[in-house]
Amino acid sequence: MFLQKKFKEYYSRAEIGMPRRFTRREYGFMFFERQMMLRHISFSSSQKLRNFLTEKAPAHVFYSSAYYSKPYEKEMKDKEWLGADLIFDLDADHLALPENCTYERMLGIVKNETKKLLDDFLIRDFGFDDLEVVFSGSRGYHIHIYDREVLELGSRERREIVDYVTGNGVSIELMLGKDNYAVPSVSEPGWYGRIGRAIGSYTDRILSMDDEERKKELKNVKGVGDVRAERIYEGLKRLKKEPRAVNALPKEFIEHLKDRVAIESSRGEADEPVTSDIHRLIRLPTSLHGKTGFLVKPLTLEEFDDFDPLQDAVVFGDEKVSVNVLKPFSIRIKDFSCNAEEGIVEMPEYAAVFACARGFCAEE
Amino acid sequence: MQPTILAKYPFLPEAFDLVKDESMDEILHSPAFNRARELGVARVQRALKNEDSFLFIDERNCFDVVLSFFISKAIVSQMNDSFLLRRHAIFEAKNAYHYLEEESRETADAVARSLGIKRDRNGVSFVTFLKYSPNAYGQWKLANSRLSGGMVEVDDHTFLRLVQEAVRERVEGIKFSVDGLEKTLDLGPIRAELANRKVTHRADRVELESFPPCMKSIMAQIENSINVPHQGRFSLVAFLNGIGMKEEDIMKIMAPIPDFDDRMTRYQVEHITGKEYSTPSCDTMRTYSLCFEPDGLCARIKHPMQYYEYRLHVSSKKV
Repeated sequence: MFLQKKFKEYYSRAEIGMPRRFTRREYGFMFFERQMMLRHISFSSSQKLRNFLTEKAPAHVFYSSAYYSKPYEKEMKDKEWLGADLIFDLDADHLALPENCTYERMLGIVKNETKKLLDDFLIRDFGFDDLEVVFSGSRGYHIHIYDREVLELGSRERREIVDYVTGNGVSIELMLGKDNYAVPSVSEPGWYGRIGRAIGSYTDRILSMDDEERKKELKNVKGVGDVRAERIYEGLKRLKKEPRAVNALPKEFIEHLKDRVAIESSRGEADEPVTSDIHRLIRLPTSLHGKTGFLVKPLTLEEFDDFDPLQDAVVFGDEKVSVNVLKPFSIRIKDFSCNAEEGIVEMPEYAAVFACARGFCAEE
Repeated sequence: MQPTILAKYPFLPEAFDLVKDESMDEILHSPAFNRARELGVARVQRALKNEDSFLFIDERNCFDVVLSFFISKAIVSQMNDSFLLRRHAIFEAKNAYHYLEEESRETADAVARSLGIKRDRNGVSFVTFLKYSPNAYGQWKLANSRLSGGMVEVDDHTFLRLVQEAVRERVEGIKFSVDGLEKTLDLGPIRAELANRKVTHRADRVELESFPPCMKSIMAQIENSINVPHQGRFSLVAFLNGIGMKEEDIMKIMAPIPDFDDRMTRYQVEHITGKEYSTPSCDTMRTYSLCFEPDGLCARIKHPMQYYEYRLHVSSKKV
């Protein structure tokens, strides 16, 4: 089989990046000819994993974010959990995408969300410095955090981290303060500053509108009619000068500012079940994704900035290969682009691998 | 730290060093240790009665006080009762909190450090905050903290509350038992107190029919292996604990959860029951969208526990 042969070629020459403490991890594999997942596998040396990959050329390679005393045990309770890296999974499937979004555009959107999560939350607020961004090989990015102190966090604590990132449970009463009821300063840490900045820029935006525009905008808010819109406008004018004037705004409107303005604009993306799962299997960096043939590529933060999966996650060569197109498709990878119709088509090997992995083509 | 300071925090390893060379036999029998033994029994009794115990500590009694802590730990392990174990740990932790409130910042920080909690001018690590926050609501929710560069800003009160939780965990974890304890100490009153409690909090009186609709619904979801969000699990465990159900029975109820993992669930259940979290109020249940199919009685109560107590009261009258 073409794909498996190509994967085998890759694994026989590839530098497989071994996960930290790789002997303590559980591995899982999916193959081209079988549906079942083979898991609860462990490897005592990096050579053994390499041999396995070269010999079996699996379609998908996973390893556990967790460390175990006995990673090979079938039952979770027998594995003896020792700790787990903290994982974030950003996948286009979980994001609100515009209609008819192209693959390239989608990758751009996911990249921006990943960047926001990294810069605003994981680095600035949480101060993580031992982390790795990995292109998932398909529609997103994984972030692996290895900072020592996170390894022993349980699900409950990890869920709290997700809530932090997504702004779930942010209390506007606490943010505005009990004794000193006021919009928090823009320079305050965490959600305090985010709320302060969001309310500030919202106020500026409303105040810069003309009467009609402003009325229309404010009346879009649930429960706001002409009278309330006027009251809110007066309130915002005062708020611009004095953060304590927030008490001039209706309570429901402040809730609206928190939920629909501040949290919606500054929250980060996080897939709760992935991050809180302390037994998760995740794709092995430097392996190949069986549904695209792309490299699951680990990136430094500098590399991430300029990373273009359609250039940089391609590992196969450009010699011409003939494939049998089963259903029409169009792709653009590296310098190659085509609108393929059914029938025999010639294309560079890297494009052929992608098209076959997607199921558009079969080997000629 | 000086012995007079250590005596306030006898659970610290440095305090154990003060007394580790004493002979256990002497401690149990010698008249020289009368006071230490009395204090040890009193510690357990006060813990059971939920009383504070503020001892005046000076050079003369500080060794007795440290010894009394270990005697109290020995009594607790002799009793082999998980309620007493938790209650004693909470009692010691509250005491430590009160002492710490009076200490200088340096001393408080030194005690905290010995428990693995470090504070600098930016606060404490968010991991410390998550690990030792008494619950995950309001100010204890990480999202409502001032977090920057991995450090959470904490005022003195918040800091000491985290230390208190660390003390509770430490005290609960200390293993200390002594053979022949009961030959020299009169543990009858403690036994009686414990037996008395069990009669009033019998878990076999749990009446599923009297559960409020929210708890029934969460239980039904769990039974059907629907993945109930954390807040729902938490509320149910706190409720079941509140009505006196045993940890083992709570574990059985939680077992069908799809990502059920004995070790983690046990940890969570113990975490909740150990800290004696109270069940969230109806308001809080509504906030977390956990208020399902409220009935007529719901309209008249503010707390799921009130619902249960009322129904229980009514059903006991019928009989």
